[in-house]
Amino acid sequence: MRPQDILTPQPAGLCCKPGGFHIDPVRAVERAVITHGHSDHARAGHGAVLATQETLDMMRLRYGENFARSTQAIAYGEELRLGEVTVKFHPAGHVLGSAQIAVSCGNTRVVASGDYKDAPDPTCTPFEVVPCDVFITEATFGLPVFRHGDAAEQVKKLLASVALFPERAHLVGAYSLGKAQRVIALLRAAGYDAPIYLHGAMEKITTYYQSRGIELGELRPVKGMKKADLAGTITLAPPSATSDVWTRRFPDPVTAFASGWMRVRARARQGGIELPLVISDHADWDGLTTTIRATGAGEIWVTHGQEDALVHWCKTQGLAARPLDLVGYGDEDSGADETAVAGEDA
Amino acid sequence: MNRFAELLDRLAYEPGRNNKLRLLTNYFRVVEDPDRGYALAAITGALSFKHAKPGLIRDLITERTDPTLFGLSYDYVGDLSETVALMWPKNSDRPLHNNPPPPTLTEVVTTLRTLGKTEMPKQLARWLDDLDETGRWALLKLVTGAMRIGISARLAKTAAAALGDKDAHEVELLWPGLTPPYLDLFAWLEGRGEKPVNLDPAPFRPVMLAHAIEDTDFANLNPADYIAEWKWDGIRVQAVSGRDAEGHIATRLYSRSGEDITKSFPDLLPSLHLQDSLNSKLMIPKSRFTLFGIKLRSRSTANYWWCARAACRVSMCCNNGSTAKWSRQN
Repeated sequence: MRPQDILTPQPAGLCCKPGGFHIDPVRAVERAVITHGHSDHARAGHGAVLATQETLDMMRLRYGENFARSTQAIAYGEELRLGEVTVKFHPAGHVLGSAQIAVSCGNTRVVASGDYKDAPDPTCTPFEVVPCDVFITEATFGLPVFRHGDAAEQVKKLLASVALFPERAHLVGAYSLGKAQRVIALLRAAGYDAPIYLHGAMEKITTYYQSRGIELGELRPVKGMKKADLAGTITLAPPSATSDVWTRRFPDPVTAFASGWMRVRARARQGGIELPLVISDHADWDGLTTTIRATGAGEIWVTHGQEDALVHWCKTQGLAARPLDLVGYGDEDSGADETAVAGEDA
Repeated sequence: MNRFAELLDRLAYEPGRNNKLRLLTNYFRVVEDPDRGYALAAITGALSFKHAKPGLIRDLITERTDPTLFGLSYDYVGDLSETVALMWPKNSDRPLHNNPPPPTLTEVVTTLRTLGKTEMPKQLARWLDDLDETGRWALLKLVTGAMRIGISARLAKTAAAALGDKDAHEVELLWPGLTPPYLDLFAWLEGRGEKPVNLDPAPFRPVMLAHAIEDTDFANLNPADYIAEWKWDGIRVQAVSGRDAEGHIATRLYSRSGEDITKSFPDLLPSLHLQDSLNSKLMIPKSRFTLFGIKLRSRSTANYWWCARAACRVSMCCNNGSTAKWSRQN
């Protein structure tokens, strides 16, 4: 079977006709296979949902018990026959529970990687290269200017700022699913053992991470704290909250933002960020190109982000490549954080 | 270079004046001579390198990257130095353990000053290989002279002065007599040396600023102490002259910020017969340069006006010490 018959882009998302399912559909479908828990990939209202246990748990936390008619958990490395195809989940290293989905039919294997990163992350299983014929990749940071560097160095920068401004509060904008927990884990790895404060919208998901055995040290809700007591502390909040009136409860806050976009100065300045931290849960340019080569795929389909540059690069490497023009996916950092909009702690 | 790069990086994002001062003073405190002096020079605009131009940087990146990818990246980032700093390819020929340490700021500045035009591209490329993203960005900003980090020379001098709990005014008075890397200045600020003497026979003095008079202020002012005049539109200059050790007369024009702009007005100098200094406005009536107007300050208040009497009635500033004294109009 030709790859384009195994997986076909449709308005609802990537459709596997011979398997009778969609991958990360943006509209309600009968059967959905989900790569990870971010809201642009994991939506409510599908009939049956197949995903890792963590992804299902996160969807339940976000959408409530009845987010789908039925669910089925699948582990990394587990294989499942669906119609004429076989699906197998592999770690994507993006957030806790994130997976690449390998869809095989006969001798042809197509890997839909969802969002992924090949950089180390103490809060999730490391990315695994899956050899395939067609590799479907994101291109969120698909320009050679995006090189994220070492996240530990960025956390050192944050700690140096806390030391220099002990009378100010440090407010770190970080997406509440994945990024926030990774930043906390990195702070702990750097030896920071003071309590870390959390915006209300982060509490549920962070508690879930802890329940899955991720060590995050002492965490406290920032709600109810006196302004003066927050001097010299670090608080994590959804990005949208760091430019909100909510920040008035902090003494002269230093606004930081942990995101791959922080690599470009204009982006950071537009957002009024004083302390940009280049920490991303997506592969950077080197990560994308290295991974594409490592899969051995002869054909690359590019889903969302800077498709032009990545498709161009693939062609210069002698690889067939095309943009899939799927609509509805973004990068979680640039959109509003929907958990903050819910306003659990406005 | 890395610490200088970190400083520039932080300053570029910091909106608050006091926090900028903190960052700068902290840098001057922890970084040793002569690096910190060259940093002060770079931030105050006291350095320029004639052979390093944006065109050279563009050539360097064109040789190393795919033009389509560079075009897409430059479009996205919008700044040449930053685009080049971010997409500069990692030098894979060099084994990691054998990497030379990144160059110091002093090394960069002294090399850039002496390097010929033909050697420049190779040297720049070597440094770009050795530095990280922020280091490359800072290097390119330094080389092209377009810092754009929102720091005035005055603010940088204030931060340096704070190192020794001195007033920025004092540093300002010494400044024209100082040269990078300002070893004597830092020694004095840290209490390790004598206060530098401004040997310049015609030094700049911080200019006094005009303040608006509120209606309520008039109750405390005696009009007999003042004269008023039109405020002329033009370039604010300070004309100073004095005799050097050999008895030669030196005459200079300074901009409001203390920059020596004498060379910009060669035809004006011969007509300047000053004994001391003069704060004035430089204007062009009927296409002829004329010095016109002087600011006066009353002894009793800090307020002063522009005065527009004839040149013979101009009050002079006495060049007899570090503090400018103003005589009253009579």
